[in-house]
Amino acid sequence: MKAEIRLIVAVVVVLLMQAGLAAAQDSVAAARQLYASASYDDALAMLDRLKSSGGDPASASLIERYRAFCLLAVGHQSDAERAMEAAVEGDPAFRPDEADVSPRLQSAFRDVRKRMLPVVVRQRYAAAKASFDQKAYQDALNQFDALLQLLDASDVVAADPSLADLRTVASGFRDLAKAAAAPPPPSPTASGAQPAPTVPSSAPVAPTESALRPPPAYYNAGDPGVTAPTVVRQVLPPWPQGIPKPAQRGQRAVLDVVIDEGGAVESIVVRQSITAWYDEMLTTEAKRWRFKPATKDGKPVKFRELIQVVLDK
Amino acid sequence: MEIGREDLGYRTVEAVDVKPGRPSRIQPALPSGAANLNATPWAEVWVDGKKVGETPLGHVPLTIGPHEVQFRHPELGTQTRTLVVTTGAPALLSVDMKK
Repeated sequence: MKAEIRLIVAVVVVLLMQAGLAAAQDSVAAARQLYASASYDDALAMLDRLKSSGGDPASASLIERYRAFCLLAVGHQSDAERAMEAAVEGDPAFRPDEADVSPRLQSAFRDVRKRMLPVVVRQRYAAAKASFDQKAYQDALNQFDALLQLLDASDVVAADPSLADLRTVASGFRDLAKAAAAPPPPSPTASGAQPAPTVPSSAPVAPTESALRPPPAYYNAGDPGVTAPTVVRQVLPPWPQGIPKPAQRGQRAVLDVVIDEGGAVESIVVRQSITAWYDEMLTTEAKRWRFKPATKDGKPVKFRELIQVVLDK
Repeated sequence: MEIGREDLGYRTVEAVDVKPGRPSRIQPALPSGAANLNATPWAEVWVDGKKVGETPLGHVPLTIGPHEVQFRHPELGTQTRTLVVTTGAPALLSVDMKK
């Protein structure tokens, strides 16, 4: 009897969920129809109800898009801008199709995208970097891939040229996340493993891919069997007194550093800049940094590391 | 004198000074209504020969009564409609420029 009641409750819950989902879809479609027929006030009322009822991010962005269209129609400019900001935040890849909306709407969306994209890109970079720092490498890989796809949209870097630097940094972290997320190769000598099949001595033996592949020029975090280097000496150049620290472009540099087998810095590339002159001071000082070298299977190896330098406020 | 148009939701009372042997004129100011205009995919909108903007357009103030509305698209041509504005809710007009 109890099982029967549970089953009935479950069926009712499922039916209600399906009905709710269908109603939500119908309502978005209905709101679009109201908008198309110029019933802007009714469309807005419906979209506001849908917004307050929540939903998935894609629907939320669509709702904000149509709210923006309706608000622009009735002349509520500031509310329309907030709706467009929410739409861009929810779906930064969306750009109104030139064939579908008037030049006035295109221009309004273009202005908001130009203002919002650098913010959204930096938020998404921060989220991806946080995943990387938490060693959630697969999540970080997916987030950096999505971020790079966004950065490749034609109008993104045009909105803020400094995003070109961020793309370089994101690309570096994406490669590191990919390397770290890759599963380690299976051990051929694992205990309990089946004996490897033998090859007749007369048969030619093709060299394996790993045998053909030269050892990497350097290792990365997450490479199997690799222990990252540890800092022995890492002094930062002091910020000159009397010169205000940059506030707008972020107070951090990212250095792409290769540390050799002896623990010395072999090469430095500035992936994210603070200012040109401080970058120069920083790279000069960084050449004197010393590390306990990275090791692979106990032997010192070259190691590539992205090092963030954050200025105190 | 009470004058009005029931279909437009308009009624007003005007004082008329009637003098013998001469017609008297009254010119009551017509109140404003509003129109909501849209086109698929979009259009420039002209009302009574005057450009009012690009769609979507809402709460466009117009005097009550009939108006000629033109929707113009650079590739899809022009469509003309008559829209009757009243004192009530905004008059709605939308056209599909592809038809």
